[in-house]
Amino acid sequence: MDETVDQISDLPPSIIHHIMTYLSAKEVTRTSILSTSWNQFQNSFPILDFDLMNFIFSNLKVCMQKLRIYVCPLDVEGSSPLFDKWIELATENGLEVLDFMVIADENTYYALPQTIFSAKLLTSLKLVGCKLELPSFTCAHLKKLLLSEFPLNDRELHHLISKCPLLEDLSISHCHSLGRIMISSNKLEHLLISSCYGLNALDVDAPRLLSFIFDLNPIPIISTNALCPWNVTLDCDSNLDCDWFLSLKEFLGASSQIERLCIDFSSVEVYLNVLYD
Amino acid sequence: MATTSTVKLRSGDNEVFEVEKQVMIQSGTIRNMIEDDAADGEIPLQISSRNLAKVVEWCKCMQHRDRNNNNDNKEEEEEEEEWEKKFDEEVSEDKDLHFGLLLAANYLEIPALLHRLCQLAADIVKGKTPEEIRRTFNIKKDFTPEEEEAVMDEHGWAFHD
Repeated sequence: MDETVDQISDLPPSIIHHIMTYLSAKEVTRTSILSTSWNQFQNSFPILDFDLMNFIFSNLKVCMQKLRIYVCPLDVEGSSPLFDKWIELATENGLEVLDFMVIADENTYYALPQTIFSAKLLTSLKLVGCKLELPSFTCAHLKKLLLSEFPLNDRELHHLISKCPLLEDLSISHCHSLGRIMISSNKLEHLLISSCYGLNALDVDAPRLLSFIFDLNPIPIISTNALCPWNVTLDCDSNLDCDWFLSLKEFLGASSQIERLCIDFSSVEVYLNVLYD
Repeated sequence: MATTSTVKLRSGDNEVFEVEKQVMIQSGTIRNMIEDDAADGEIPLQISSRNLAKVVEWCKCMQHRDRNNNNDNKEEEEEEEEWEKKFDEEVSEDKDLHFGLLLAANYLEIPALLHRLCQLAADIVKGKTPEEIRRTFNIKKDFTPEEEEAVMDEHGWAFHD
């Protein structure tokens, strides 16, 4: 037997990758330092091993259309560099759809890197439990935006929407620091506002709106230019006094099409079908 | 229709092995040939007689084990375990055999054998430093200093415990 021949490196990559499946993510990554061939084997290893904190897929050159991450980190700040790296790699690999859900303690949010806005093909962004520095440039292709448990104020939301000229679908939920939501868009088709408990005013100028869901928010002062049917659910555990009734009347009066109205009186649910001309 | 119950395999160095079809259908490649009635003559294989003998031996042992799976014959069970242990040792200590069998199992499409051999290769890699792995397999470090630095920059995290 010739003791100087490197037989293992001559094996087909599929066999090398098969061998790698029996190694930990860390051990696989370490093989990259063996030689240029092994660096290539490691880079083309087709298994993404999410090994809690050590997982990084570097040099990934694949088309990554959608990345969906749902994590419940114990230490959001400590995990942030890793999350940043994932997003950076995804944006470099043609990311179109990002769902990033970080479920952590209350008032703990993952600060999303600005890199996300450099994803040129990004059309859908779904963010839960994240926070964001506002983009200084335009999200040219973004059509769908969902923000939940997202600590942003009125001005920041307004700014964000203004940077998304093609936005068609907007969902905002559990954003308690929002008081006044101002939306002005001639592209927006679907709008959902849900469980924003600080909401007191809503200005919607969206002539092409096709659906509007207003779910479990306080009744805001509303000014609207949206001709679509409304789907409204109100939760009433506060005092049902005259003021409440007047604000309800005014709110509903802003629409010419209430498709469905559900008012939850905590113990009794009342469904009203209100038809207008 | 195939009429005989055996199949003849000719190694790269022209040794012919006559093996029961029932044994060799563990190989996807040979099973396809049998099903296509293309296995009546000798099947030429680019596998050395030493490696082919080992593959056949392995297939026989596995088939024997599967057939006896329902039996509670402790003695036979121990014998088989002993055989497998010896097989593992022999392969792990003989790189020519190990890599020859890897290629053969890959070509003949014998998944169980391929898994076993890959597992054994991974066991050899595990716990070794890069330098030890290179020495074990005669891998030549062919990076330029710049390339090596780039790899370390990229993967540095994996080298710390």
